[in-house]
Amino acid sequence: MNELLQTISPLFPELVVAVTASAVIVVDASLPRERASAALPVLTVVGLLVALVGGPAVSAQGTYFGGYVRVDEFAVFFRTVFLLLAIFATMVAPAYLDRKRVPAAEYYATVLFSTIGAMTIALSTDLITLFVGLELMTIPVYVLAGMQRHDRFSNEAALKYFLLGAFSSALLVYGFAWLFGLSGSTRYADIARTVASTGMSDAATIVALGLVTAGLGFKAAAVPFHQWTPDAYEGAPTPATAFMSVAPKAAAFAAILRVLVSGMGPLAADWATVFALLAAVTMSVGNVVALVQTNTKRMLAYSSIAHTGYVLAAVAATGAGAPAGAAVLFYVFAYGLMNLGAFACLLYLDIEGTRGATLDELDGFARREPLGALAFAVFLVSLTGIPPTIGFVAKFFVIQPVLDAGFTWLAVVLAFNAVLAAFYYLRVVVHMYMYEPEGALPPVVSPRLLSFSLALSAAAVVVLGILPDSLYAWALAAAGPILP
Amino acid sequence: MIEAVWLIPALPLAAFLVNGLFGRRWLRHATGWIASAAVGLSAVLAIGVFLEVLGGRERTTVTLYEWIGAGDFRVDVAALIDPLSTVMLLVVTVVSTLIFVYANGYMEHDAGFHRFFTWFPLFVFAMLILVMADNYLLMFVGWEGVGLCSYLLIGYWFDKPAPQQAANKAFWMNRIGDWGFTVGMITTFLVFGSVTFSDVFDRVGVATQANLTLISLAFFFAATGKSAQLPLYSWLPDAMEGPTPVSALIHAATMVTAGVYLVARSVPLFVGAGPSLEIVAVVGAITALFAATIALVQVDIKRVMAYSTVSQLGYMFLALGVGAPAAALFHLATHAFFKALLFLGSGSVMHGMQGEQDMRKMGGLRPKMPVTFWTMLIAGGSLAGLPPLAGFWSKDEIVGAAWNEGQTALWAIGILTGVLTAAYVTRALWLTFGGEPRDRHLFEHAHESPAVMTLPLMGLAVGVLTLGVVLGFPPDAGFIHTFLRPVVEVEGLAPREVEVVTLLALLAVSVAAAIVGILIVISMYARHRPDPAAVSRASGPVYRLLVNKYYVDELYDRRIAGALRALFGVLWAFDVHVVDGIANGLGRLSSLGGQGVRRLQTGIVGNYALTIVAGLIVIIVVYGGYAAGLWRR
Repeated sequence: MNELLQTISPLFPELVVAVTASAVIVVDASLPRERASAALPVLTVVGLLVALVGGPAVSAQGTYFGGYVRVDEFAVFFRTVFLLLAIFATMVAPAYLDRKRVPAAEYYATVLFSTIGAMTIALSTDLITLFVGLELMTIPVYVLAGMQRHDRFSNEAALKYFLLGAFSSALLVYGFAWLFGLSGSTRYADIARTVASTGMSDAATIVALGLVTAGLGFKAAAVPFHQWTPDAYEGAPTPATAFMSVAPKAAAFAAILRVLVSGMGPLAADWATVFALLAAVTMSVGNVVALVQTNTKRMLAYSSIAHTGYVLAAVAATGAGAPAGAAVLFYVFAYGLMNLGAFACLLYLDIEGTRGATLDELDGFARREPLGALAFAVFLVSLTGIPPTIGFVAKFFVIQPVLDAGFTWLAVVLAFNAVLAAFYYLRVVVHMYMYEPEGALPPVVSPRLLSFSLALSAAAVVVLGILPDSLYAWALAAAGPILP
Repeated sequence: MIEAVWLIPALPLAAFLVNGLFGRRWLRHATGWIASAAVGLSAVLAIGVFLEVLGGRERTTVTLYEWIGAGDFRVDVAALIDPLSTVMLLVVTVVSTLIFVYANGYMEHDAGFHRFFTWFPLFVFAMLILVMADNYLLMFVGWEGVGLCSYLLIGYWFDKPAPQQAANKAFWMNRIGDWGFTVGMITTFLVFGSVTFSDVFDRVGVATQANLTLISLAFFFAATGKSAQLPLYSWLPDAMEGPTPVSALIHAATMVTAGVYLVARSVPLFVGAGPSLEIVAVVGAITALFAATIALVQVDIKRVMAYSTVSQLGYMFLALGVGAPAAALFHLATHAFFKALLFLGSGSVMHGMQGEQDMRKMGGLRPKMPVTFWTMLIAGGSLAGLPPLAGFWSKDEIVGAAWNEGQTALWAIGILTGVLTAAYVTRALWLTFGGEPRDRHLFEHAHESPAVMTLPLMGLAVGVLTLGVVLGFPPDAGFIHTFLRPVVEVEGLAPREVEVVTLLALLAVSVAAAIVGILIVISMYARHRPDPAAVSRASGPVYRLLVNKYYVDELYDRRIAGALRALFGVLWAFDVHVVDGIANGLGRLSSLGGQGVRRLQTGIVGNYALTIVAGLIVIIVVYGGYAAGLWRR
């Protein structure tokens, strides 16, 4: 017994989340509907908090399970990010789920299962662990997208996401197969050794690298693998959109850091420029298309593509060492906080189906829901990258290593894009604060839990924007293990 | 205690947050007492800090956290607690406390009560940051903060046009001055590689005289904006559109002295900077005289006090310029008390007169408002420079310093201004309290203010009565001089030994000047010899020049603002047609691009998959190109 406990203790947070997910389903089945809808979010959040708080205490750092899993500072950082995002995604959802008659237990359980997958990716030292984690994370997200079963768009979103996701997974697994063929191992360390000796000389390496780039690029929603994003984000129930716009993306970057930066680090000089190009194209396309959107949900979907571009820029700069890795981690954290928050702010408006509010429907929103509008404004300002918010600090940390790595042109493109983004982000603020509420506007609902969690995260966005030091120091420490 | 110094600004900040968040719905009138209690506690803490500094801890840096650490540029959020900042802390918190209490009564019937008590503690917070900062950058944060609060509070009655315009004017003129601050700060960093006071002053030797002249004049330019000196003074009289407690605290006692503090703090930079100190002295002296002449003919009681403030700040700069920073700080402290008292007294008069500010409608109020009268009389005597009141000691020291420095002309200006000062304050008090009531209706309804307002008046009056002797006796060697010595004693600023005979002679001249001024005015107004009306008729053009404040506003508006407007018209056209053209063009271009990409977003899964494959092929080709050396990195 003791031995068993010792064996599984490194995976304590993952196990707690898994147990919580199962408990959610069981409790839902055994309680009457009203009591269940009150108890489930509490149960979910408590489970996640136990994992969050207990994790560092119980799960010691080291390599486990025959070397397939490694708990290091990197894994701990991402675990924290995923758990926080899951807590946030749970707390903003209850009122919406009730209103739209979305089965609540399934929502929470799917979020939890997806979180386990994301955490597994961060733990991986091996392509197999990584792929298991990746699929464990994405399959629940397909379900999340289609959770509003009676809505046509929700169904369409889920199906599209599933088909394309499966396609990209196939590409990725094909790439892994090539890597295995090259090195005879699925361990990152072995792969790194092999590619270090072969370099880019043979076609097999090139094909493998290309397939992995495309597969992971899809998961992170990089252009030109991004087209599923707006459709899936727009059709999914809004709380699900909020979650799937951040957690899978954060996980995709965890995977990119593990596979490309540690596994194929020796080729960094070769893929860095491709990633820089990808970054530039991704942020520019994301922002330019976001500019013409009139629906805020779709606008945020495109803007999330632009943010992928910013993080890719930091990935491209990993040649500059730990600050670039830290920039990726910091940006992922910041992005999760502010983007989830921004999507969640749309939950204040009761609109039919899964549609998000149009700009006109947000006219005078500040008058109708002052707190929600303030939180929305904070998130948008942060997404734009204006001080004193975490969004500004995150962009600042990205630009420095990009310059150090010699991609001056990319830094210029990035700065230019930040200006472009201000147009459409601040336009929302203008509509909320400077227009009179006129005509037939969708009714405002203000659930307490939603307001509470948004107030909390908006405050965090500002506080971390002023005092980013300790978080950055942590990100720097977490970036250590993955950089060669 | 000193380690807890950050509590001092934290308390007003907390009051600001609490009142701002919960004031309108729940706290309402409780906001006033919350803010007052917070500031009062800060004052207690400040006294504790003062006692410790007095106990021998002359220089302590309390770092809150590292604020910016980018390469060579490192700035901490840190407080520098030395005698200079301690004096400022004390003045700011103690005077604030009394004014906050007073404002509870004064603002009682105002609909925006909670709003007032949200901005008011925020101002105190910003002011405390300004005086505590251990580097120029953090000081600039406070500097801008007080400017913002000043703007908000001048325009407090935002539904009326005049306060709005006054707030805008104050904001713009301060921005012009702030430009000097940024120039000074950036140059300081370029020359010294740091903006922290201790680093900069330790390395003064590395700078050339030209460097120092540029830095010190840039900072002095900033000071003329904040402290309302020539040429950037004209916003201050207009700022009287704000509520009277605001005028008393921000536009008399504290914020406007920020410029004096900045120059006093930077004295090591001024000393080695060639003509800088002379320029400070001359600008100060001329401003003092210039503003005093305008104050002589104003009919609005608050405007008299506003010009008087400009004039007294001129004295402080004169003191700094002639190398007597201790005297400047001394006058700053006493002025904070007596001028705050004069403003609060004016407010009390207005409160009892249904908001009337025109002295031509007052008169004979003495029996109706005894407390206000007596306290204002004390403050007025102090302003006029009558011994043994506070203002006498500090002002006399400044004028004496000018003499000792050999600046006879500046000394003469100081004495002449002293005559005018005594005259205008006597005139104002006489028009308000003396003679016959000139508006029967207002007079009948006039009443003394409630205790919540008169008690702070008495508190300040006690300060005015005692501070001079407590801090400044004997002259040039009083408590404040020994206390400040470690900070203000800079190489090249040696205190001069003065013979007792000279000292007494200077004293006599100062007092005589004050008495002459007072006697002339009493003779004019009480006995009509000569009659004020006749005098103003006889001196027609001069009188009109003064009443119209030397036409400076008109000059600024027509000439400078006109020129700027023409320039801005060109810039605006450039902006609209070229910059906006580019921006809009870019936006339109982007939109077109966006529409194009939108068309690619067909919604058909097969097309998407095709795009993915296309992207994959492009990437493989690019990688292959690298490998084959087709294109270089």
